[in-house]
Amino acid sequence: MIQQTAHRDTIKFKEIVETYKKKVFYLAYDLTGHVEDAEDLSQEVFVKAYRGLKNFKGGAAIGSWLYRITFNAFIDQKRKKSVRPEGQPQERNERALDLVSTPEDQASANPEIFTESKQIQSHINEALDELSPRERAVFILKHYEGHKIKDISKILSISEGTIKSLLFRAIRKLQEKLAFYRPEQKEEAVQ
Amino acid sequence: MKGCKHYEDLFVDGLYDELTEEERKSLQTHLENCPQCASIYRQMSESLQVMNKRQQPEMGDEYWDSYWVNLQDRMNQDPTPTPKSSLGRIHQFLLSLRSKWVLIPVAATLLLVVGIYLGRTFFSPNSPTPAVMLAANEPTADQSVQSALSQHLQDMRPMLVECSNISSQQLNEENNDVVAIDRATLKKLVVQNYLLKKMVSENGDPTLKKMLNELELILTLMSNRNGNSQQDLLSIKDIIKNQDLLFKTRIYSQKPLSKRI
Repeated sequence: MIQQTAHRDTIKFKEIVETYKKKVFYLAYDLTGHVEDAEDLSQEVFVKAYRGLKNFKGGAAIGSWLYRITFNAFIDQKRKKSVRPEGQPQERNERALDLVSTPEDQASANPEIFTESKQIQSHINEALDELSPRERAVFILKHYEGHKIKDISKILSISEGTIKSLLFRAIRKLQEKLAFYRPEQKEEAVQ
Repeated sequence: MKGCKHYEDLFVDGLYDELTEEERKSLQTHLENCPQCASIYRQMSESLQVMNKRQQPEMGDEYWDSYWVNLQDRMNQDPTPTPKSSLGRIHQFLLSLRSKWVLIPVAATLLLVVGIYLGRTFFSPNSPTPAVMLAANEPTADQSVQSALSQHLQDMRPMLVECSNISSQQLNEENNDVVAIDRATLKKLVVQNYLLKKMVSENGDPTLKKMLNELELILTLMSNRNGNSQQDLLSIKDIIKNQDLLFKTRIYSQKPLSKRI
């Protein structure tokens, strides 16, 4: 009986993993900015989800539930890493960028455009690294995942007012870091 | 006329098109009349356009095909979290209660009782001098509990002895309170007994736990006595006799430190 239940749970869980693995992985990538960390975080999310499967009431959507686990696991991971040395952000970002384009893309594309694109990716990742974990999570859920503010509030259990403040601060920080990409700055640089 | 701060609060909703029609018109009008806000809003919008150029890595089919197998490996490696220790559970319980206002008076009472106990133990006229105390070894947590228990049982014994020595004749005498104990002392004994019960761990000595429960019952009967009701005294006398409380309290008040507590 117990074995049957465990087997049923595993089948149900495998379905969840197959459905959400890409979503969770890419959310983890957006949060961490690194493929290895995203892999680690996304697996950790599913491990936690499996352990919490019995407690999952099903009232909330599975997606939102997984998002919440991802967010909490990301905050935990950040806290642990703050006391653990790691590679230079610049170096880690470059490693991640190598995966953005395949070697074929790199060969076929205009080398100048490719270099510029790689540089933009690097600047964007550096700018994102400037955000606090909460600012980053809120920004990712809003800007890249396209959730409504009230939905983010439910997913992260944070008030809508706080979500808006975090978003405002996040965008202002990004604006500061990416100032040289703004049209008038570019024009000034050309002159 | 609303200030710039009010409109700044609408920027995020505006940038992500989450404003009501009324709010949108209001923000638009403000931006047309306030060059400073208009500049900030434009810069934020341009930054978001740059952020749109971000790309995500392409993970090949091979990666996704082996995802489940890799996850199973990870699950086999990750041990299931072990149940928390008693201390951990107590800590978690206290954390879960930290926002409850009811804890404030409880904490204050506990602090007061601990203060009274420390004062009585270390600053009474018979207490050892500081030099003697320094010479002695630092007490461990178990020693502290043992010491508190001995003190409590010694405090309890006079009342228990008095109750157990009550004769039938004394009980029949009207308006004669044969066991006189003031309410302040009784209250102190109740609190001491309650704290000791909490201090004795879940897996501690069952006889000790049982004894503290019996003492609690006696203290409750004493506290709830109506006037000079001798019926309660009879019940107390029976409990003391049936549970061998005089013997047990003497043993436990002298018992050396052991892992039983």
